[in-house]
Amino acid sequence: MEWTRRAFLKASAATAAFAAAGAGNLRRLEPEGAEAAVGGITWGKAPCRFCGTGCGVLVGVKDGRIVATKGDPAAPVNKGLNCVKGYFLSKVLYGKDRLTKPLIRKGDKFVEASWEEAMTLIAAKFKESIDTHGPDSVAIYGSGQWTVFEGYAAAKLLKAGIGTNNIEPNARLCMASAVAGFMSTFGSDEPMGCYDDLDLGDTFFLWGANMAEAHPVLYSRLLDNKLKNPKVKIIDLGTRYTRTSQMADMFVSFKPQTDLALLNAIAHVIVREKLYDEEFISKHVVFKKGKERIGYGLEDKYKFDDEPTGITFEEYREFLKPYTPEHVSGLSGVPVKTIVEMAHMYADRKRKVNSLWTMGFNHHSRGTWANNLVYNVHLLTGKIGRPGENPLSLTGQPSACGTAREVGTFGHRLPADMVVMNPEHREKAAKIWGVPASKIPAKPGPHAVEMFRALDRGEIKVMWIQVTNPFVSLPNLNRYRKAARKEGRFIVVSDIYPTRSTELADVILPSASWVEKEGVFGNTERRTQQWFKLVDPPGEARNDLWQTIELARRLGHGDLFPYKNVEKEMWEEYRQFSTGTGKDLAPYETYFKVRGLRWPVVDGTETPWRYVEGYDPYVKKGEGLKFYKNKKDEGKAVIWARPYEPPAESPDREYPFWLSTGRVLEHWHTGTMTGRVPELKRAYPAAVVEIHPDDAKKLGIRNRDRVRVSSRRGTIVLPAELNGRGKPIKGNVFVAFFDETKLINELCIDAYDPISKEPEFKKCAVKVEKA
Amino acid sequence: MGYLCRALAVAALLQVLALPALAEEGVPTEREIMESEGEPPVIPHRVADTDTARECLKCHETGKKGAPVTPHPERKACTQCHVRGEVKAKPGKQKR
Repeated sequence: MEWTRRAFLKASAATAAFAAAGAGNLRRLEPEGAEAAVGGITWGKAPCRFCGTGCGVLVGVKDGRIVATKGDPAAPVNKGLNCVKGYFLSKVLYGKDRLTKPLIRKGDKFVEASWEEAMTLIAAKFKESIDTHGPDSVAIYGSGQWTVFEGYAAAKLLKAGIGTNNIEPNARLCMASAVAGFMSTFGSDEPMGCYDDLDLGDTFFLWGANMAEAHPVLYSRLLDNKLKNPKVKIIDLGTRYTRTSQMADMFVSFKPQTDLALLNAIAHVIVREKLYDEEFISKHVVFKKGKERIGYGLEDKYKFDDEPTGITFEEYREFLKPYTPEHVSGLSGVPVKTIVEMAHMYADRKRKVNSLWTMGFNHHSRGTWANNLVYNVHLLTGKIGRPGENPLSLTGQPSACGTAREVGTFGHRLPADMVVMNPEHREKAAKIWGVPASKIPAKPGPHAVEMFRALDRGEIKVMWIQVTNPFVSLPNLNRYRKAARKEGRFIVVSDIYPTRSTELADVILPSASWVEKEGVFGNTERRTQQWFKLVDPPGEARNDLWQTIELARRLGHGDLFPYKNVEKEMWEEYRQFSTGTGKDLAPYETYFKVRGLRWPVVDGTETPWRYVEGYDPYVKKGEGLKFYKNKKDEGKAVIWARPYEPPAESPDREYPFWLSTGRVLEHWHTGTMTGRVPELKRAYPAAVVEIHPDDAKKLGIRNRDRVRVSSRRGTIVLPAELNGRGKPIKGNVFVAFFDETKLINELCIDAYDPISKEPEFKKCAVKVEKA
Repeated sequence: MGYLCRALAVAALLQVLALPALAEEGVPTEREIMESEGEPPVIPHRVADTDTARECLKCHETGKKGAPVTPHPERKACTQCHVRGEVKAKPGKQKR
């Protein structure tokens, strides 16, 4: 399980040696040399701990501690550049209040305990609950920050051991709509394109993505491209003017939720003016529609299944008829001329067009539709699959793709795009896992929101939370925070620092993080990246993988994890799921030698562009392009007729503003790591509410005044920021969610997209008053 | 100091152009470590939220008023790496 540092840290930083030797005499240091290097710093590599970009980082270690992190010049993702969070990674693990011992709640206090005591208690609680209330009374809630191994172990323990599908990642709050979009349009999760498109394209539509702050390194790639190629145009669409908008060529503001209508209007113009690629459509596309007026999931146990039906191009044309630029301009506030211009840009044969999006689309009660609709535009114009022109769904966590999506740590999923509802899929999984197929339940587990509702109702009694902070990040937080402390619930939280979630736990387990353990992450562009353990975790902190296997052992499921060389053997087992499916992963050792590889990896060769002849080994000679994963539509992709529908809650007289939430550059997610880095904390110490100056003036609010923001679910007092870094359009306010002292998610509505079950964090109605 | 950084950066760039990548073993080479950049300095003066590379480079491209010279004037998203620190210095008068 552990590789020695000596074996894998080879090179050294030796400024003096560099200067003395001169640039021409550089040579690779031998392992023995590394240890004796000038300054005593040894260096390893790892993907960054934070977002889904997957930047390469060089990690400098001295005396068992990380002393420096640098951008890896050999990493194709970031080519040596990091964002400020990546540069300060060396400090992230060394906050003063790092958890180093298991803690058990005794009344209102936490008391230090041994691992033996903590694991005995946890195992007893799991066992008691399973024996008394059945396997569906326990659950594991993990994250897109789980390493592949951690997610795989948790999924295998629950699905093949305990016999429940009660596993969800926080990625349900983040990427579920992207997954549902990929599955319904292409029959397989994850993008066809890659980051090379950022260098090769010339037209970039950003839909609800503040890339300059949330994906800074990728935005820099775009800006580099723009610097070299005067043809490059960046069009930023959103409800808030951001740093991204500032550096874009065009900022198009629209009223919340009308992105659905805008995309249909763009398609309307393309179809009306016959700007579409007829040959592409006839070869590669089918048309479908699904259910409409599908609800918002506000009721407990809300059920929804889409019913797709095939339609013709003519019927799709009819469907688009009402979405005239004039009608949609009235709805969205975007000028008619701009809508037509954007449609023409998308369709311009001389332009290599890309669409990029993140949470603007996904944190959306019609998120799957938004994803479908942007693919529609690319499928109509045939701008998909070819290098330099693709739609690209950006991810927000380091292994939302690699772990949550590829391993399938969801209530309904199994590895490699398989689902528990399908008997053949269960059969295949059971075979690899060495258990009878009957062991894996066919009934999907509850999605994240429903899982916490089940905790509230008392159906789930024991929950283990790993690598995430749900009692800050869930919507309608008040309900779920109270649920955690209800009588008869038992909550375990594994983390590296005390958080607003650990404060609600019954047992807190101290975890190892990032390079304190060996791991694999998978990024946005299907790149699988491996790293070795470089330092020991502090005190008694231990790897989450060890923690899960230890629970398995104590529950009598130890035989599911018979590995000696744990990571290597587990990887080779996991890899069997993907082999031959078009999602092929390489043998474990292959990843030691590279800065990641984009799957499918067949015979050691990665695939930058999926579905494309010459790049994707699954596309046969002469096929050109084939969406071969969508077998039920004979290898064609789907254009979906998806209408505009309003969100669950819109502003009214009592609550007249839209509230949107999101990230800032300096902090990541709920700020538990970045908040402990002095430089980052100082740069952005606390949350503010951004409000348009005209709205502020009407309310008598001046810059930095304290204001009360309230929704039907909660209320919060924050300083107002006018003309700050971000400026919401009139009628909107924005609050970042990193600040654990200001739980903005108490205000958010727990409505969700009925298809993907991803909650709506970007829209609810609030009022704003001077405090 | 600034000029030294710049000279080093240029040397590093020449290296990148002159030599094939040496990343086969997946551990950083000495050259990669030399070329890589670490913690970016924080901004010790007031800076407006609306400031862009245009404003920053007014002083940091040439070293006007003793400002440190950036080794990478081609990078335009300055605040992606350089964040606000403690205010210790006055910025040059910024004309818009």
